[in-house]
Amino acid sequence: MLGLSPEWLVILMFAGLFIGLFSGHPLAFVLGGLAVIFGLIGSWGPSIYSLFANRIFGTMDNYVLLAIPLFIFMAQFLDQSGVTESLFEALRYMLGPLRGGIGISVIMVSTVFAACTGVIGASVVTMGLLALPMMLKYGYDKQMTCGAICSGGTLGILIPPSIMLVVMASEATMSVGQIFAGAVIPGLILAALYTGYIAIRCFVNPQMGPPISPEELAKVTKKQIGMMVLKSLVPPVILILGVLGTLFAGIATPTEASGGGAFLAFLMVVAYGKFSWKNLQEAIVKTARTSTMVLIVLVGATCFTGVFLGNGGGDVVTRFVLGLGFGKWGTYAVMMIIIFILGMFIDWLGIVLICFPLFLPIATQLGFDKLWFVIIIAVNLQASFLTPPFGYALFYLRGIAVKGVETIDIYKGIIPYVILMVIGLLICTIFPQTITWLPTLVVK
Amino acid sequence: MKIVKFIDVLNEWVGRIFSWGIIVLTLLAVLEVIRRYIFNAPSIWGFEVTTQIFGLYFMIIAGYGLLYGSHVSIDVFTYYISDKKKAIVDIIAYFIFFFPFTLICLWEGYLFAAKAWAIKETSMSVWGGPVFPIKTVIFVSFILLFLQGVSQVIKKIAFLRGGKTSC
Amino acid sequence: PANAADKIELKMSSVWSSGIQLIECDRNFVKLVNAMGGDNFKIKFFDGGTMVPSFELFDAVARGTLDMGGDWGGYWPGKDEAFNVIGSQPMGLSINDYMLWIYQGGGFDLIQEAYAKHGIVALPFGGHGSESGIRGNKPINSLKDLKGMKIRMGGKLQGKILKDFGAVQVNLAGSEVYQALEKGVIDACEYNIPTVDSLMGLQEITKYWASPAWHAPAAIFSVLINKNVWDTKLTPAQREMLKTAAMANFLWSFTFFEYNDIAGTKKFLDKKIKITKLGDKDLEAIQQSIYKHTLEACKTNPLFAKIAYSQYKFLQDFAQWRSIASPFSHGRNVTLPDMNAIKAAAGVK
Ligand code: NA
Ligand code: NA
Repeated sequence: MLGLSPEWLVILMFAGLFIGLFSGHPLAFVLGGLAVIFGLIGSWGPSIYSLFANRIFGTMDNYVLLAIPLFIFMAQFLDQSGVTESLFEALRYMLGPLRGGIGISVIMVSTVFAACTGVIGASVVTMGLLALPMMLKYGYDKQMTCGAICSGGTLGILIPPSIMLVVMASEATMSVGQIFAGAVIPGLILAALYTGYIAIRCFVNPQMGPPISPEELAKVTKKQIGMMVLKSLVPPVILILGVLGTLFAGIATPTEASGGGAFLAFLMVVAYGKFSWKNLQEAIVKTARTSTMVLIVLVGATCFTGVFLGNGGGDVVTRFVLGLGFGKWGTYAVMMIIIFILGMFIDWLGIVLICFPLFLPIATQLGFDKLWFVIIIAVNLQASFLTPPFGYALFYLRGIAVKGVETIDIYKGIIPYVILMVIGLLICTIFPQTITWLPTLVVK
Repeated sequence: MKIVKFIDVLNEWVGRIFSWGIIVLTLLAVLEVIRRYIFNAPSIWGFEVTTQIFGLYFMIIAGYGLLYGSHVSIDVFTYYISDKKKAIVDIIAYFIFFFPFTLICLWEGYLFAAKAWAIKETSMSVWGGPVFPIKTVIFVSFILLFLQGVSQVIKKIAFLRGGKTSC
Repeated sequence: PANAADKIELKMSSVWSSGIQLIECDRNFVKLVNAMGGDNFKIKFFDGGTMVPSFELFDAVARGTLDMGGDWGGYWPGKDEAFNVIGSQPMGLSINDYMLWIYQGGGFDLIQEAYAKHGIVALPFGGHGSESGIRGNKPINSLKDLKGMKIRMGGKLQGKILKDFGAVQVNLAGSEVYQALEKGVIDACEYNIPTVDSLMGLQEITKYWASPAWHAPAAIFSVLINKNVWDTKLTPAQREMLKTAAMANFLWSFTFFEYNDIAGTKKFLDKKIKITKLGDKDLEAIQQSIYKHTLEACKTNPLFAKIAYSQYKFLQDFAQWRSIASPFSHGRNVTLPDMNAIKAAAGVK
């Protein structure tokens, strides 16, 4: 035990995180490894290690987190059923004549599926596989396309249902329903910002997103397109009713609703004639690998957080934020910037677990509405999925490795969208009704 | 490399078998809704048994996830260096982060389980089922994970020595 | 051996997260000790859930990861069913009864006996009086109304009682309770005392309040201290200080919660929530159901029997004076269980 001062501990732990991540080692074990190293030299002493098992068991014993694998499972079936494809096809024909129309379709499809699923991987991967090659073929700007797919796909975790909102409600001891309701309008604002951005850029510079050719459009009539759109909207509507509907009708709890969603999505695979044992097995295997990936990060993060808080890291951050003496809105800005920067390096869950116990009391003390503040953090965390080096949307899009798209294209592509997210955050800050209005309607 | 083969096959099978847990979890969630909403007879065990299976599910397949490189990592830096250098960085990272962490968790997981077994700990609810088996899962999972790490490092060393198995 | 000149800082946490008002009991205790302890003796407090999950607090103190932790015994029947009787007893001791039993009636030593097996010293350091009762959207005017109701209620024994009257105990994660009640996934829930219930916003989503709270007329909290720390790291004077602080804090927390319940209750009344009350006959039926299940537990667990016997023996002994002093005495005299059966199970001569 070196009795490292808490200030140095905070600095060194994040420096270690930075170095560890760049070694290319899995995040879960970098977090866990740092927990071991700083557990040894922190002021608590090595007895802090016995917290590890308690904390890991706390993660295993958390019923609410069960929604994570269930939503991932649902996303696999959604993928197999091909319902995303048909909706995208229909919207492509409908919006194709516009400049940037296919880009706008990507955002719209992502928004609809955001209301079905609670995770981000599904939309990013599906849209990456479907839309990216097609848009490149049409001559869409590579970077704008990558950014659209990443940011659109990320909406899945802001627009309810969402595993992130479920965890936030649990950590803030608030109602999941209220949090869900609060996040709807901010999610739609972001979707509108992305749409507007793509439309304006392609209008100014048609090279970035040319309309589809008249010959291709001639293949289908307007009426056919209308039917396609309507027909392709049926499955997502069923899913939305199945998940959010059972939730708001009081039939199921959020966790149960995610199970219901997975079951419905499976029935859809069967209904579309896509069922085979091989497909089922593939869905199971992929769900297992993705779930363990997400949840083992939680395991590493909970050990990291335990060592961080146990050795006084939390107090350092609180003292720092309040000690700046920036007043109400200055302190708010500092907290938002800290979350944004943390979002570059750790995932949303680690941030929620580290920041909620530190920032929620400060926010309440400063007189901010708790529900509003929680949703503001949720909006802020949208950026964390896109900002390198650690961003799930980046990983997913790179994972599917589309030919002709380099990592650097993705990194450059997300910049304008991250700026749009910050603008969205400002809108929700200046007009708090965007968050607080809907929950008052839902709860009488 | 008998040991590598043994570990890989072990985690492969653990992964294949326990992946099916997701089906059980989905059905349990749906059946509980049906029991409660339609038959007005929620089970006293559903909540806890489902939670236990969830914990077992994602922990026990962690080693399987490592076998398939599923755990999230960042390759912005290592993307630009040669495969050999990358393997060296990987091996060092395993010794700094992975092995200390898994070994500590393995040991703490053992003590944690031993305590629960000593009093044959049960659930605190009306269901009152056993919790000592689920409290053993941390220990078992970290053994599997640790072994998989050993296998990965041996494969990387073999690669450095000019063997063919790249990973 | 411990030396008064040694600087000592003990790490303490709680089962209550910062969102639950019951944590004030822990915070006040820490404040008291830190004020009394001078420069050499400090408690460093971590909000519940920040260091270990609430349900892991017991193990963390037992192992010495945490030196101390504020608990509620009702969380530990999985370790030993006897903790159920220590935390609270359905239709058993009131808060005043608990104080008499703990500090004069042998309760303190029995509590030590239960925790000592696990390497823990437990000082009762807080509690609150009667809980609210059952809150929901269906009226409970009599026991018949319980039939078919889905109720979220803590506790093993409580679940068995609900079953006896045709209601079902629903298990939900704490974070799901509010919404499940709001959306009608469950018909009712018991949560805590009026002030805590009101902070959770239950007045916004319920129409009925079924009293009295037969499931928990009182709750007792203890500060758990690792036995090794207690024996080797503390001087006799420091131990005495902790005991005294715990006792003082008991009074503080009881008055704090009970007084805040005035405002808590008002929040429910302001929302025009209808209060229903079970009649004496119904309460007696519940009492008998409780005794049935208590006796079962006594037969399988001698420590449970020993503690239960001691509590009922106190109630029996105190009954005479309580009834003479009535209506100026506190609490109530209960019909007693089969004392001989419990005595036999407890192995008391
Ligand atoms: Na969503
Ligand atoms: Na990021």
